[in-house]
Amino acid sequence: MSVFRKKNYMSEEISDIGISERDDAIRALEEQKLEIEKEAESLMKAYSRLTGQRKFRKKQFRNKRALDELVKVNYSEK
Amino acid sequence: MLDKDKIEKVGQSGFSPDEGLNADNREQESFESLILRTESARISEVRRRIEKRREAEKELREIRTKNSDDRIDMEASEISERVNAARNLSERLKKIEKNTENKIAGEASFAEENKEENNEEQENRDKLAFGGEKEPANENGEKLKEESKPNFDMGISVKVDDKAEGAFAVSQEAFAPAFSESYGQRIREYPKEESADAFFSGDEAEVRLSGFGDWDSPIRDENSHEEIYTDFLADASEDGFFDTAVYTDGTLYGQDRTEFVSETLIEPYSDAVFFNSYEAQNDDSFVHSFAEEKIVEEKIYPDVYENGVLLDSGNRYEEKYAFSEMNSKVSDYDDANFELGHIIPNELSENNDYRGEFPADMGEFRFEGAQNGEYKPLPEFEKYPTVSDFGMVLPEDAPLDALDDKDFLALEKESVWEPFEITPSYKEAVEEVPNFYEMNSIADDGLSQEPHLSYGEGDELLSFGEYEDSFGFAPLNKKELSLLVKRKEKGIELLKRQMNTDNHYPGGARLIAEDLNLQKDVIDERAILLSACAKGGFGDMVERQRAEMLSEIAQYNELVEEYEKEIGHTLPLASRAIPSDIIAGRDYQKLSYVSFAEEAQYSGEDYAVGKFSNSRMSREEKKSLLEADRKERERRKYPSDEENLFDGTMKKSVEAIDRRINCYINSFREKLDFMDNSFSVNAADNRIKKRVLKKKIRRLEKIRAKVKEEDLYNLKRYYSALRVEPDDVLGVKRRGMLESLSLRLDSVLRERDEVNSRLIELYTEGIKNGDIEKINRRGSAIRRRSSKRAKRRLSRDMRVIRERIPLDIKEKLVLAANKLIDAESYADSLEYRMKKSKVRGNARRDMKNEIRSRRRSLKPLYADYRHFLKKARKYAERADDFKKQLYWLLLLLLTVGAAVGIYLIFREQISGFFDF
Repeated sequence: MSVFRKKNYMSEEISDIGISERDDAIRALEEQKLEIEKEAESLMKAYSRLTGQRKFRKKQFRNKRALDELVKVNYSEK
Repeated sequence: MLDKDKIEKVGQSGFSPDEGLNADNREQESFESLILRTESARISEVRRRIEKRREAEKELREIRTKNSDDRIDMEASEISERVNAARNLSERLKKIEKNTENKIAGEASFAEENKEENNEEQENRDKLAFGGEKEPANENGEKLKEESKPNFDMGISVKVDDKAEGAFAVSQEAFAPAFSESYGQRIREYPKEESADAFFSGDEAEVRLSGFGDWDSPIRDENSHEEIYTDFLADASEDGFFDTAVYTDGTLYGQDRTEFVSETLIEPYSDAVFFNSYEAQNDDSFVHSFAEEKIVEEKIYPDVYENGVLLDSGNRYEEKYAFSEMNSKVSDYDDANFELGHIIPNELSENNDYRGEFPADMGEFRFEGAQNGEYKPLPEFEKYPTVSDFGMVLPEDAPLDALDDKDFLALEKESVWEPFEITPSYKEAVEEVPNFYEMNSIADDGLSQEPHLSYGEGDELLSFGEYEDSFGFAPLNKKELSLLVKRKEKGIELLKRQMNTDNHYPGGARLIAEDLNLQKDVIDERAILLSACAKGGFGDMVERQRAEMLSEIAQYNELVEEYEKEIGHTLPLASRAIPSDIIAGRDYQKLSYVSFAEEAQYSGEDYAVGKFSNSRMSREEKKSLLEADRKERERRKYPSDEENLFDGTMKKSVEAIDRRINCYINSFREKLDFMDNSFSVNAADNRIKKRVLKKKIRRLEKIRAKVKEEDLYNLKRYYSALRVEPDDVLGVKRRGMLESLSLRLDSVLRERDEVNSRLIELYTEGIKNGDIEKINRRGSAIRRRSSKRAKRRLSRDMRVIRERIPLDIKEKLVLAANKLIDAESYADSLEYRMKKSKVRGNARRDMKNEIRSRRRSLKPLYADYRHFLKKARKYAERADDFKKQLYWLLLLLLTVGAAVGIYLIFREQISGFFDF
């Protein structure tokens, strides 16, 4: 485990995020967003169980997944 | 389904009728009869399949009922059986583990074999299809022999629309890639000889696909089968697997040799392909999807001995195929029907995990759509009852106003109501039941801010004296009257079934108003009936109708009271003297329709004051009304909230995606530019890289709209979940859970919103939309120009790479030159950005430092470049020297060879010349 604390780009001032760490910040935030969406989906699942309405469940996400895959390669290349 | 052979046979016989026919009947049997015969064979085949499916369904039902019975009284023997089954399962799991290891090893060997064929494009596609995972490596480096037999056999059932014309092809070539992409299967082979089949209207068929697959793909681990299956169907339909006329009932089943796949592959009723689930529900030929699972049961019976000799061992292994439904099926089904508000038989809800929450007295059906108070008519009553429901037989969809005298005369002949003289004015008396919603829209125009009543005009007065004279209602005989009663009562029943009586909730005045109007129609219809009975003079029938009417009037008055409580206005009650008046032959004043201006109920204080001015209401009632009113206001706030939501959160979310895609498209384009303006060792390699980049850009542009759509869809889902109210969920415990869930979801969505705004700031660097695009565009142009200039400057020296020098030196030189070009061009474009962008503070300082460091790095980079250039030149000179040496050597050899040749040719002359 890294001894350095992971920088929290949410609390950081936008003017403090330099161009050299901009990519890192974007990547971290995109990952955070993905995590949030995962959690939201699990909550949705719980909702659908609770209410008995399947409309809360996830249906299609292939394009978004494709987008993630397309740009993931670029992170390492940048 | 038509066999391929049969089709060919028909086709051949069309051109040469002699073939395939009996010699005696050759002349009589025509081509058409042959087609008929084939058609009948086809039909019988379809019938056979339908029968088969029905049997399967029956068996399924039996198993289900058996299971439910068994669940209630489980005996000790069954428990022991289950223990055995658990043991079997553990063995199976072991087998599976072993199998998986084998497969991983098999994959590795397969990857090695095909290594040469894989170019970069292929890798990219694989990454997309298989979740970016690399091929599993075999650590031991063992190459296991690839299994020759395919390890899975999948099928998807399809059906061609009955009305479709011509033949349709459903090819496995279309099926395979979609399947491969969605399930992460590496399909290596599939039988191409059976690749296409022709289907005709009404055909049901099963397209099978067998091959060599990897069931434990990362896609399958990460995502639920439901998601994968939806993906697969969407992919397949994109690839043209499902024609507009060819659809599937969503049944996908498969059998794996390892006997564990089939249990999870089935996802029925997918609305991706399934357009109309209601149709399928009523379609006899429709069969609920099921999983086919092979079960091996060990059963122990007493051993059979005869004279001490064992004749038959008690242990038996019975193989059977059980049809087990998925647990999620009912919820799938619910969802397909939810939007339409269709009824769902409780029978189907058996396996539902939330069934315990519904009260037992809900009867045979429950109304999904009515859960949120939105009543939608059931499919069978989508149209409000018309006169045809009350006895007249009218052509369907023919509005009464459009019918002229001739039509009515024609109707008279067809009609069962022969004794009556039907005239055009009949329609005025027995008019169509007014559409409540239409009436609302009329009442809403321009009108009051509070609920109001609309009273009937003069034509609402039904005079039975006139009625008799005008429409020829002569006293009916008993048979005719019973017919009339039967038909009218059917209509009345239909009206009653439309009522929302059980769904009235506090604040739901609209539903009560709806019921009031329906009840009014019921009483009007009953009045006509009662009058006819009274004229006929049949005491028992009159008495019955009278009693019915009295109870209906009581119900009407109850509704009136309920409505008054809701809206705070008084309404005229229906008099209990109506039936007596009708029997006595007096005119009947029709009751009034209640018009309800929906938005007026919650329009503000004025209304609230009016509502409570009703002195009949107690303090508690007023309090509860106020509470209900507040709740309803809360409910009705949502639409406007949604609009606000779209302006704020949703817009932001979509913008974040847009910016993300733009960012990557820009960076890819810059890379392309750089590739154009830099050096490369291998031109072909460079071309491939460029192609891949272009493909990525195209793909990003293509999916942009779809990703945004998906995001919006997800957001709508999230926010609609927030709107679920505790009242919509039954059970106290669940309500508590719901509250905590909605709190969590709310905070999660807020967090997402914040992340989105931060992302947008990062992507735009805090610059306005139009400006950032301009800066990006110009920055890219500057970079392009700068790199072009640098390349031109270096290109003269870089000609050395065309010489014969070692590849590694060549690569290092090219890399150094490219780094130089990159640093120079990036510094230039960054300088421009710094001038134009308004970043301040550390970010600006960082940008300056970046530019400075890039400028400084030019010197060492240039040194590197000179170093490798020098080396390359040295190698080139050496090669040059070697070339020169080779040249002299070659010249020498040629000279010597020429001398030898001359000597050999002119040997005699030379010897003669020297022969003294």
